[in-house]
Parts: sequence; structure tokens; C-alpha cells
Amino acid sequence: MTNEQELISKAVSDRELSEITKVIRKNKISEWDEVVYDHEEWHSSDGNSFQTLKTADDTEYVFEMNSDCEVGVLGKLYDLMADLDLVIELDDDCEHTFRKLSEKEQDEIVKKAEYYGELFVTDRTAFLKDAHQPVRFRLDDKFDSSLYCFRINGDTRIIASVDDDPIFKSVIVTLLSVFRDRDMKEKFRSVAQSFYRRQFADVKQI
Amino acid sequence: MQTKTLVDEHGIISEACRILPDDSHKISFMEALGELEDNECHKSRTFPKTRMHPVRGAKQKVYRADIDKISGWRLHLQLIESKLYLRDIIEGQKHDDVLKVIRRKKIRYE
Repeated sequence: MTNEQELISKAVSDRELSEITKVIRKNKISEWDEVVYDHEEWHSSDGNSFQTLKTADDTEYVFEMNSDCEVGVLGKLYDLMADLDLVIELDDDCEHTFRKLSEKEQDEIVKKAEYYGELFVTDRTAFLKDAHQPVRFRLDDKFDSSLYCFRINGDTRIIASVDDDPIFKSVIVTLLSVFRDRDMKEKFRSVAQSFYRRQFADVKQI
Repeated sequence: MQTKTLVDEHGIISEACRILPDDSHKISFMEALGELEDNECHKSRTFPKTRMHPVRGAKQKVYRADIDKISGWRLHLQLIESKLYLRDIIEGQKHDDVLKVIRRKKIRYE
């Protein structure tokens, strides 16, 4: 979703403000006469943007304006931001190794996967400090790899993809491999190539 | 009717007309585009015909959508600024990755 570091503020035109105020009054969103202040435009790293403003009772609402300049109320900011799912998945190839681990180890891996999935949303800078890409790939000459290697404990590591999914409002962490005591770079390359060859025609190491 | 904007910068529609094997696939392709444009599908987050879902492992928010479930012909799309960009048309594959959800929870973003 949105990172506070990427927030920008935009001056709203009188026409926009007038439209938004009309919508608020029409929808009886606020009982106060002076309904609008603190207009902000938010931009996320994925290029999405939305507008928020506060009403006099200090509630933030999210609005969008379509190409015909019609204003639509999407809801309260707090409710919308809560509506993001974190999904942890297991790739078929990884499941065999994963299920051989003790319950305690499995739980530890899932908790770490949850931790990194949440960090990906809440603090991308901190996420990128811990998420290692020993080898990088270019996919179909268009896309960049979102595969990372994370340390779980001691010598246990996982390879997982971490993906933002705005259409289904989720962040997906897909576990592809759990391993110990291996050459990380070689293991990463092998897992990535096997995974990507099933999905993309052209996989290049860069 | 409100629609989701589809963008075809790379001539995917034109390529589809050339390479799809028969008229049945071409009709399915049109139906797939229709579903991808349908804002009601996006609001309800259900895409029964195309089974649109995110592709794992790519940073740029790539989605896969079926043209034909049996033959496996599919599209790759990318979401940019709320618009869906057609990126590739891909020939049928023998099987897809099997992914099992083992945990799902809500993120509270502050």
C-alpha cells in the first residue's frame, strides 16, 4: 500500500474542493458545516494514488476522482488500510522438505515469513536491508525478480518471493526452498531458474 | 458502465489475431478482454473466465489471465496506475505451479 516517505502533498483546486464538499454533504458523511481541510494526495511505490481529506470531526476519508471529474467516496482511510491480507504460500517442490521439519521449525519459518511480509508493507527500506538477492534475474526482458533469501536462524535459510498484489489487496510470500549448510548463491540460482522456467519464456541472469 | 482501462502498447491484440490457432480461441480472447475490463469483476475480485491471479516472483505486479483453460493459452498483464497493460500472449503450458496457502492474516498498517 502506501509508504509515508512517499507521501506528497498537492494543492487542491477550488473546483475539486467544491466537488468534494458537495459529495460529503450529500452523503451526510459529516454533520459539521465546515467539512473539509487537510487535503492530501498519497502516492505509493507502485504508482497508485488516492486522495484523503479530514472532516471537521477529524475522520479521514478516501476519495477518487474519475476522468469525468466525478467524485466518489471510497471509505474511511483507517478501514481501507486495514483491508490488506498477508498470504504465506508453499511451493509444491518446497513442501516435501518443509513437512520433514519439526513443528517448531515449521512455525519459526512461517513466523519469519509473516515478519518479512509485514515489513515489506510497513518499512520497505528495512525489508531491503534483510532481503538478499545473491543472483538477480531479468524475466522476459521486461520484469525484475522478486525472489529473496532470508536467514531464519543459525544456518537455516529460506528462498521466497515477496509480491505486492493490489488487485486482490494482498501481499504474498511464497516459500520456494528451505535449506541449510549450502552455497547460498548456487542454491538460489538453481531454485530461481527452476521456478522461473515454469513461468517465463526468457530468464536471464544479470 | 464503468470499465477498467486496458492498454495495449505492444500490439498484443494484433499478435493474438495472428497466432491464436483458431476462431474459437479468438472468441475466447475477446471474452477474456471483456472480463478484464469489467469493473464489477475487479470490485468483487472474482474472474471466473480468466481466473486472473498474480504471477509470483516478479516485482512489477504481473498478472496471468487464461484465454483458454484447456489449451492453456494465457495473457500476462501488468498493473500500472490502476490500468492493466497487456504484456504478453503465451502458448499453452502442460501444467501450472501448485501453491498451497499455509497462513493468511490481515495486515494492520499504521
